[in-house]
Amino acid sequence: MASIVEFLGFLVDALFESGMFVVTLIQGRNRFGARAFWGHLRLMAVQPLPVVSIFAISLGLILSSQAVRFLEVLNLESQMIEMIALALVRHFAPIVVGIFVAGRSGLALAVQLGDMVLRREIDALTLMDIDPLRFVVAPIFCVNLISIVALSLWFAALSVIAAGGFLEYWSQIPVTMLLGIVANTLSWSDILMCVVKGLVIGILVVVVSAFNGLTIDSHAQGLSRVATYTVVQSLLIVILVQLAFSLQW
Amino acid sequence: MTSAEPAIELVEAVSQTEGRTLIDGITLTLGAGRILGVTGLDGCGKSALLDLMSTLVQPRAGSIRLFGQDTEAIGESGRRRLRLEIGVVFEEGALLDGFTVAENMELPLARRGLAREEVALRIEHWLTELELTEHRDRMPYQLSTSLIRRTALARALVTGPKLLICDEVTTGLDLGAILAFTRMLRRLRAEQGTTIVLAVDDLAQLKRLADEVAVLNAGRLAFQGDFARLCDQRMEDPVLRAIFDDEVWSTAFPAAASP
Repeated sequence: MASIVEFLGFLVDALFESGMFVVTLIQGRNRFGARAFWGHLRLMAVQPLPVVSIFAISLGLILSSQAVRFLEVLNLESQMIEMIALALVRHFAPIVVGIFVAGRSGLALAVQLGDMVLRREIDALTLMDIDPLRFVVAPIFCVNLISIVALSLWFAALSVIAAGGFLEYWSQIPVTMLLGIVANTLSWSDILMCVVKGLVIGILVVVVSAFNGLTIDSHAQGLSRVATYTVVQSLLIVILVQLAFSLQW
Repeated sequence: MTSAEPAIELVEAVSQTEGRTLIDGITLTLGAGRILGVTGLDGCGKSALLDLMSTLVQPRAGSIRLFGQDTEAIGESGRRRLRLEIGVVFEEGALLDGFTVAENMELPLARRGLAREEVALRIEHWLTELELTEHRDRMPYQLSTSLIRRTALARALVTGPKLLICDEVTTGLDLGAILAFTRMLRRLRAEQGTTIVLAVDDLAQLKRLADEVAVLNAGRLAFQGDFARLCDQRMEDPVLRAIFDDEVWSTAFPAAASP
């Protein structure tokens, strides 16, 4: 119970410090923070693009190739793209990108912070009156939110195009027509669902990762234990957020 | 340049972490402008004592006063103000990765409201003093152990602290670097009246540097006094005798059994 209260306090602190970080960034009063922000943006939003793209294209192809086997019997190929697009945009994009972010950025953040605790860099920051949350966690937090939303939308778009391409090959229906059907089917609320899920997953994954890293035990296995806990908890978050949204909306 | 007011006063201070007692009721006083050398066997609580003195850790029991201020009574905001007067050099440097030598030195000045020119001046001064000028744009991972320690020392000194705490910073350094470090600390004390606390394993260095010696044993204070008194008491006190046996002593001072 104490650790839940501690975690909730940490969540509020992290949100507040990230807000303050953004304010100082906009005001141009945070030279080191700006550098960290752009560095993390390259690392967390640009570098993963090729892998996320391969995921997206593969998933689009897998879904369409499997669905087509059943639906061709019913002669419903043109409707199939609607179902696939809805599944990809509303569910698969945030969940796959969430898993990717949890395994990559979340783990990296937890290990980085744990290492900083063990090497006493966090203590050094405290003594310099620099809040580690604002200095280290906030730039990653903000970048993570941007990257998870951008990558989710990128994933959704690319996977739908890949699925459309496969269906054109299979059913001879032009891909432009299939994408036109998608554009008519998807509403803004579907895209909003993708964005909101990404944001919730991003916030929780970063906060859990940072919490685990900063509360590392000082014994020899501390770092590997932090890494294990962080991956398991982050994946659990991705699935539970998905479940909660699916049940509610 | 010493004053009568104690810089550090510990009264029955206790420190615990993860269920272990690291410091077990230590009472100790250090006058301002003095150099205290803290020593003892591995795991005796040297780093834990330094953490208490730097306000990073608050005692579970007992009290700590720094420059007359009770670190518990002044609360976290008071401790944050107090930390502006304290410079700490950690054993492994604790330099921030991703920041150059000069940027690491700039970090502690970031929240002090100093003019940009003043910040640059201070950094230049300590880069020159510690012979780091040619390394100013290098990253911590590009530095040798000696350069990391010197950068960490420069980062601690750039704020002009009243209290400097160094945790085994000479371990692994060559003799030239140790002697340079010794000269630097003496000059600091003489010119600025800085109170200095050092965790040191090397007895010869302790003798060279410290006005007073604190010997820890299993989290308790086994001895506090000057080095001459430590020499006298070593033969009579069984705890000191166990820590500094004849082999340890003759290795530290090979010319004579009693320095």
